[in-house]
Amino acid sequence: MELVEYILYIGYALLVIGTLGTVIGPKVDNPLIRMLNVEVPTIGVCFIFLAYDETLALMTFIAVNAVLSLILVRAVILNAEYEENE
Amino acid sequence: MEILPLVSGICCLLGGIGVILHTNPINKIIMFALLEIGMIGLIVSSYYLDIAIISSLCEPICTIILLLGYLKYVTTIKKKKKYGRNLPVLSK
Repeated sequence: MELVEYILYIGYALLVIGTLGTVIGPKVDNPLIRMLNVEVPTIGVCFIFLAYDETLALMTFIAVNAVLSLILVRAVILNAEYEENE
Repeated sequence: MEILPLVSGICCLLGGIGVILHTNPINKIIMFALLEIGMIGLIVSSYYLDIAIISSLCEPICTIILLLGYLKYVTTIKKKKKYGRNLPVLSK
């Protein structure tokens, strides 16, 4: 098996595992746990970019993911605070 | 096949399954670090060293953000249970 096929199959496996785990995983009622499960298909998409030699897309996607996790964590905390006030 | 892509692929699959199956968020963040280590190994094994620099810089930032956010979330949840703003006498 070539290295490209190996990377592509690992990316597909991580996409399937992460999607199923996000939808019907254990204890996904907590929004923080559901947000952490979403990080798995993100890595799968990175592998598919790597297998198709999309260098610039891979670099941009990795750099944006750090900012995106900041925004999602902030949104989860604000949601918990608003539920406390009601 | 060489040894570096093999070990990195095993790291990635174990990390992905571990992130899904653990339920404590601290354990999930630790397994997520394992997953990203595998990703960096596979990027290095296909000789994209500049992207390896970018991902090595962005991964600890993401981990620190997740840890600080988890601590803030736990503090918010605990504060709601212990010191609620409604007095228990008046809420009846």
